[in-house]
Amino acid sequence: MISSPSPSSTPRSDGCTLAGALSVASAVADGVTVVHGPAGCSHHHVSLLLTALLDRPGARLPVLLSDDLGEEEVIFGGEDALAVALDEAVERSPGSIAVISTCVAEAIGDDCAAVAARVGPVPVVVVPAGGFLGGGFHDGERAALEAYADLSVCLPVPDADGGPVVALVGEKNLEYEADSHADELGRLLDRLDIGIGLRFVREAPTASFGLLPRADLLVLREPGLAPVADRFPVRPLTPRIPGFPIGLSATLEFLRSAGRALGIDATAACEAEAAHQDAVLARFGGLSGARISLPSAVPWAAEVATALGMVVHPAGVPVPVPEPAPVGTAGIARILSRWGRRL
Amino acid sequence: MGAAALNPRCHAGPLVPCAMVGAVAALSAYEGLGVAVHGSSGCWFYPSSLLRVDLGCTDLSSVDAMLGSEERARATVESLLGRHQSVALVNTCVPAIAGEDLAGALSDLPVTVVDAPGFAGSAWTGHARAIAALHPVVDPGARTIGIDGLSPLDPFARGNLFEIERLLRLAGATPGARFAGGTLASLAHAPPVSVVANPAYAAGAGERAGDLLGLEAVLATFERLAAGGGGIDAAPVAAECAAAEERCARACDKFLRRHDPPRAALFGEGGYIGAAAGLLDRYLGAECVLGYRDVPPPGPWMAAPADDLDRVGDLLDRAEPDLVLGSSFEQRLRPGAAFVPLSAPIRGRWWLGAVPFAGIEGVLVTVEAVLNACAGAP
Repeated sequence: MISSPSPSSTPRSDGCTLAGALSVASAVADGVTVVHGPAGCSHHHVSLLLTALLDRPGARLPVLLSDDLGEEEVIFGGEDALAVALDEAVERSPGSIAVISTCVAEAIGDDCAAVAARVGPVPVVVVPAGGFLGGGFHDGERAALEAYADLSVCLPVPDADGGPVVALVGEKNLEYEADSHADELGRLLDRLDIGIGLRFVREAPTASFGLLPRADLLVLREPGLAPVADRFPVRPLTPRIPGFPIGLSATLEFLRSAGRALGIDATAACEAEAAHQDAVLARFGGLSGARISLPSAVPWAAEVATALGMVVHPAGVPVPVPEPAPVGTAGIARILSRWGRRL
Repeated sequence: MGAAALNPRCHAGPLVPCAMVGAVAALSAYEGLGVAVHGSSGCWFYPSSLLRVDLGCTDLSSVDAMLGSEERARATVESLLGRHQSVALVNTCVPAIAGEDLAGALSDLPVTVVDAPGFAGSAWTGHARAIAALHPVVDPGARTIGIDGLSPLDPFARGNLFEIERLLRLAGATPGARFAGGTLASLAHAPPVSVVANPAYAAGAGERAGDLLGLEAVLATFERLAAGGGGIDAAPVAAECAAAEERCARACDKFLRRHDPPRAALFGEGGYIGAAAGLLDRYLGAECVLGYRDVPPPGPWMAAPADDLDRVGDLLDRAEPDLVLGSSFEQRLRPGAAFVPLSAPIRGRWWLGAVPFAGIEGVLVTVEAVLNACAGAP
């Protein structure tokens, strides 16, 4: 992992813009993704997805087409190759098509949007993700989310159950625990008698994105997505929760925030969740008094240690503090299991 | 997956790494040679995670792409020269399009610039370009035998190397330069003749006596080496081949007393799948359908291109195999079949030892893996 220092504009371990865009587009349940670039660029992601999906038996392998730009296209232009790949994508009758450019496509100056505009009845989003010319992984991820948000206003509003629409925004689709986190949020929201109306865009069909403009609450995966949500075509002053809840008190605050946003009294829900947290902590009562060491500036971990009566000391046993951090009370329970094994 | 693509150039889930990755892999096999990717951290990330080697990167930004990258390239090379005798800098797509003359700009440093952008082709192309860029020189007087067709991208490369070295010594020969692997100095005196482990990666200098895939090929290749003189004796290898043949035949006969011949689908590089199909046909009478990543396999096999997920899916749907030899992709698409790893990537299992596919041990290990997989399959 040794290499020259990175210029400040290039995140060193961030990965490629293309990978970020693909992590979003490939999560759309009925989507087909066309990568406008060399086949190798797509292979890298296919390989990465395979690794991620090995832990999810039966999970769908996303359809990811490459127009396989070669030396000829680099010289003469690759728009014809993209048009052929789009025909191929339409043949598969997807809910939507994502066209994602690569640094090769950007360097030779192909106009992906113009080619995509010629596609017929299938909704198409174009995500400019010119490899390192376009930033890093997170830039690609955010560009793709914005592209699907722009698409959402062109889609009919699906039938909803009449209750408030809570939208999860920007789940980390390559994260091992992504679905567990969503399950935990679903459990918490259930305490308020509401459900998750939209997962934007994880494993959701394109038609469901039509719910985004009428969302009543946006729950962002992480605060860094705020600039993306600022550009969403939602109603003015649509409330949002800036990130998935990390830690014991943050989980209770999540319930209070959701209740406030939706005009629901969350008192009973918070009391029930606090009792649940006490029961979870009681299961790990044996850890009380244990000396552990934690990285600095991880308040949720320090909060858990304090709640359990553990002693945080630099000479203590180092315990795992994962990044991204565990979500909700369920996440705390899982991390305590890991701490217990370490101790 | 759906039907195979309308356009043969349009890939649905491409399964082969790009030329840059092939070049980086080949170069990283040489001792004393530092390797850096001349491109973005995104291009660096994949070969770095795949190969787990000390791989540098010039970390190009969009500014470098526009204003020139010589300074960053020089800094990266100089940093690697602190740990390596010389450096290979592998060009990626955007700097290749920009067309900077890095070789000229860095001519005062011990650096080899390898032009292997992703759009130039697949990993095998990059591998061949990397070997060529190192300029191996054949020494007609060299009394060693080269070993060609080795790449760290091949999960059997280490096992093949050890097995081929063993067989060469068994025949009284001395193993020589490797393509790829060993020391850079060995390339200055490359042997005039080499044997091939994996034909997909055969890119070395000099003549090729043949590959070592299957017992017949092993025997034929060693007989050709022996005919070239140099004190090489094929007889000990022939004796071992005969013993291996008997062991395979006996084990497979026993298997067939309780099981039907498998219906097999094989996926990977043409040379490997052809050889593996030969084993399945010879010892088990298996029906075989072959999907090749690079070139069609030699032999009378029913074979089709299988370089993307759609093509693999179509072949699997048609063949309905109860035995799959291939990569984790095929395993994923046909979870109910018995599975034997034959091509990269191999994921979801530990793969630490040096497992050969070439040579006599390669035959024994493969037949053993097939029998165990079939006997244990649901």
